[in-house]
Amino acid sequence: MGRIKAIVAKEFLHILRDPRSLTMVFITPLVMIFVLGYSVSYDLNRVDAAVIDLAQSRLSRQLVKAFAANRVFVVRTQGASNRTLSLAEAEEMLRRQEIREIIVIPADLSQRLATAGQGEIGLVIDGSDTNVANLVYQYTERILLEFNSGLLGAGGAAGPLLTLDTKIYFNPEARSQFFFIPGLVAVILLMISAMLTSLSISRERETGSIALLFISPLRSVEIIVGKTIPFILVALLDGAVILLFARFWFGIPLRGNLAVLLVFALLYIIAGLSLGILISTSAPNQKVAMLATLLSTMLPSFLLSGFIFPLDSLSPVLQAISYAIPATYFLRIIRGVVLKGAELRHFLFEGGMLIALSVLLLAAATRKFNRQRKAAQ
Amino acid sequence: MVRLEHVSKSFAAVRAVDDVSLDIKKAAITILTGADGAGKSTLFRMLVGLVKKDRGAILLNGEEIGDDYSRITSICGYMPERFSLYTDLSVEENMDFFAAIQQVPPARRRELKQRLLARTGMEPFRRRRAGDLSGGMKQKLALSTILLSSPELIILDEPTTGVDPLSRIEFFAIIEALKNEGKTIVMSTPYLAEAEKGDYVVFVKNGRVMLQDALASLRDSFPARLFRILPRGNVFEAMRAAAAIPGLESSAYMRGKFIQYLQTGSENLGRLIPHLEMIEEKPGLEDMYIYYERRQ
Amino acid sequence: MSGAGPAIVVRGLSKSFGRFQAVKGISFDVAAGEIVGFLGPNGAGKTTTIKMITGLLKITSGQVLVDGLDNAEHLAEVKGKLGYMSQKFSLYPLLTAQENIEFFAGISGLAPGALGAQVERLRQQVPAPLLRLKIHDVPPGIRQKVALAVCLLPGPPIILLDEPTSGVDPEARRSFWSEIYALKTAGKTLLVSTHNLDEAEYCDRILIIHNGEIVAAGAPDELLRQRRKAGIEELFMDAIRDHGQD
Repeated sequence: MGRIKAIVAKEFLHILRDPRSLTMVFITPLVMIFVLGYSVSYDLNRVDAAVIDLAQSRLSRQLVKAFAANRVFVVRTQGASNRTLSLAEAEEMLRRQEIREIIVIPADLSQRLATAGQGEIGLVIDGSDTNVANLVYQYTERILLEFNSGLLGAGGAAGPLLTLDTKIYFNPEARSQFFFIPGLVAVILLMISAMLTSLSISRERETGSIALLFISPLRSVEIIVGKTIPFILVALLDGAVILLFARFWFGIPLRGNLAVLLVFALLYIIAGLSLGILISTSAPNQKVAMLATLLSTMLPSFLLSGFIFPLDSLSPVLQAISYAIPATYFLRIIRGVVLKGAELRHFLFEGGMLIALSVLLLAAATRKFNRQRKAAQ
Repeated sequence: MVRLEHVSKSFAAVRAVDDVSLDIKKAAITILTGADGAGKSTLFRMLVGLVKKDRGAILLNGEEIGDDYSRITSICGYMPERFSLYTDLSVEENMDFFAAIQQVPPARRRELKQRLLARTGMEPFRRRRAGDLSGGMKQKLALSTILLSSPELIILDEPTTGVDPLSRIEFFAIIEALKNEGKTIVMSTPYLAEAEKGDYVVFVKNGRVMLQDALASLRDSFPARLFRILPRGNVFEAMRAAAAIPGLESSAYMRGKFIQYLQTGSENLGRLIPHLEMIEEKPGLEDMYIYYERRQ
Repeated sequence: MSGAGPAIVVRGLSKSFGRFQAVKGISFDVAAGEIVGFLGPNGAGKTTTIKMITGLLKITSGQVLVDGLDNAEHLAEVKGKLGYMSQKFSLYPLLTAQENIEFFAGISGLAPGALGAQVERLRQQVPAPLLRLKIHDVPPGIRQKVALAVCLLPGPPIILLDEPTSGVDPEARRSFWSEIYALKTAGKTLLVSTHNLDEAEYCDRILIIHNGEIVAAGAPDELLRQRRKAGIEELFMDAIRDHGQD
């Protein structure tokens, strides 16, 4: 234990003695999240919407007009042979991607508003592209809110209110408003954690000091674990900075408990650090280690974790691979906690998998290190 | 104390160490010398288990160690060829780290550190980062860290290469003192003249041990005499003329205006005097190395 | 040589890397046709100085004249007069000796016929099969000979050799110095750096550099006589002490 402490203390000194790298560790993720965060949240210039007005009242026509008057919305109300659009027809249009959403105004809207003071507008969104779906939802909601305030102005403080009852077709989980940024947080946190440790053993290999560790009485597992521990603190701080940035710059809500998120973030970071140390034991120098880390964290986390492509859409082989990617689990966790307010108990499986991955990666790193030590060349 | 018996090591097609047998005597300084790539570093790395030998045996006090390199590493201090300490840590922090991983008890650590800092003259620099030390000081720090575990066997891979002469002399003073304390020291150097500071000399060439002997007996048994020849006129013509004389062997060696030759048999010496002005010299280790190398 | 002046004049030459001053205002001359040894431990400033002479490294302050020309103003002309062999020999490890020579001849704009002399010279010194091996696979001594041949290709009158003998075996080192001496006989000027103090004996004059300063300069025998020292090593230490350094 005393010997692990020696390694940990030494690694801390390395970290503190290199303030430039440390600054980079904190600035790089913010730049990435900033650039990537904006590059995907593009604006929609045109939203094709089908409106099925079952009420055909003064109020419903006003609502349709409100949509039609908006510069972005292109509203279609009529189906074949100039009759009112049916739901089946509209759904077919949605499938053919002629429209992005269906707005359904129920027949009893005015009645409900009068009696309950509240009426629900049905909304069906094409969720196949989650980013677009998010935007469509936001745009629709904004128009409805404006319309509501108009109603309030006419009917006094306790006036009637319209709300949305939303269904998302083709990808039900995309109900969230801010889908992308939390995913980005997950990918970047993994990359940074792995990067931190990936350089640590390869640097010793480069300078030759690894020979002295090899012939020291330290056990390989002590070296591996000792080199991982100090970076937990750095990565956790980094993670907190990234989350704060997402929260306050991009306005991502935090519906769940921050403590829950941090507990899982800790497990996730450890998995990332373990991945980094495994890379570090194999890489001949820091350059290779850095490239290998970028490749092995960014690509799979973007493509195979459910971040960009939903897991269901992947082939079985790729789905199997997704189980080995830490981001797969943390993505579910962070989206769940941030957007749905999920609790600790909802993610016992994910947490368990993160722990299992860390143990496996650390064991592999130790084994690899030990082998090099036993039969250097 | 340590014996290598018929050890060999190949990297791909290159025989880095080729059937080497070597004796490292207790409480003495053994110096290996030879060109880069001769196999000196590989030999040392094999000794501490950083490189796995293909063949041969390593014996410690007469017992074969097999695969248990910890029997050697637990009693030895090994200083690699390149400066391998942490340049971003201070002198003291480096020492503390290596003391901790060598499991030197904390109580002893302080006292030992103090003594080593004093002994190497590093005391004023204890807070300086290792990367900011001069070449000679780096070597002393590296030596100090390996002495923290009080090793019986000290293995030093080219500790003086490129280091200024003053530091080299101080370095050898420390080594000499360690020997007098009963430590066994084995080191390598690219400077042949430096090998004269050892008790035993080992010439290494192309992965093989060309010669190993006690320095004194190497000198006593050297069979040739050495002359400097002062040419009259063109140096190159004089060299050619001398090379034609039987019994004289060119060492193809030139010092400014001098040419140097090795004399293998003295019977023709008399004939030479009228032709050339000659000055007899004491052969150095470099001359001996070349003499034996040609007879391989 | 265009004039009778020194081949290289260095005046108040300094180089700083950030806070670290690698070369501290040194001055020396190299006369045409002499072998000057540039002696000092690693990190003393030998390579930095040589690189400043070649123009590879920007001068922080001071001046370098090569054959009377300021290398800051007439760099192209100065480069034409200098042959430079770098510390690590700077050959392509995966090309053979022959291919290396052809490549460097190509970039020096030499006609293939003009290679004859250098290649011929190399053939005499190096067994033919070795010339067909990759540079990576030949011993350091051979590599050094090839590097010298490459450096001599354009026929420069002034030759700078940075640690040419470092790491080669004694026999190869002696024969390399014979080669250097032969170059001198052919009228070349040579500045040769080394950390092996024994090599002072091969030089007409030596410059001893320590911590970026020249602490002694002159003919080796004369320096030894002046300071009443038996060897260069003692001379070196005496010079350092005189210079008021630790």
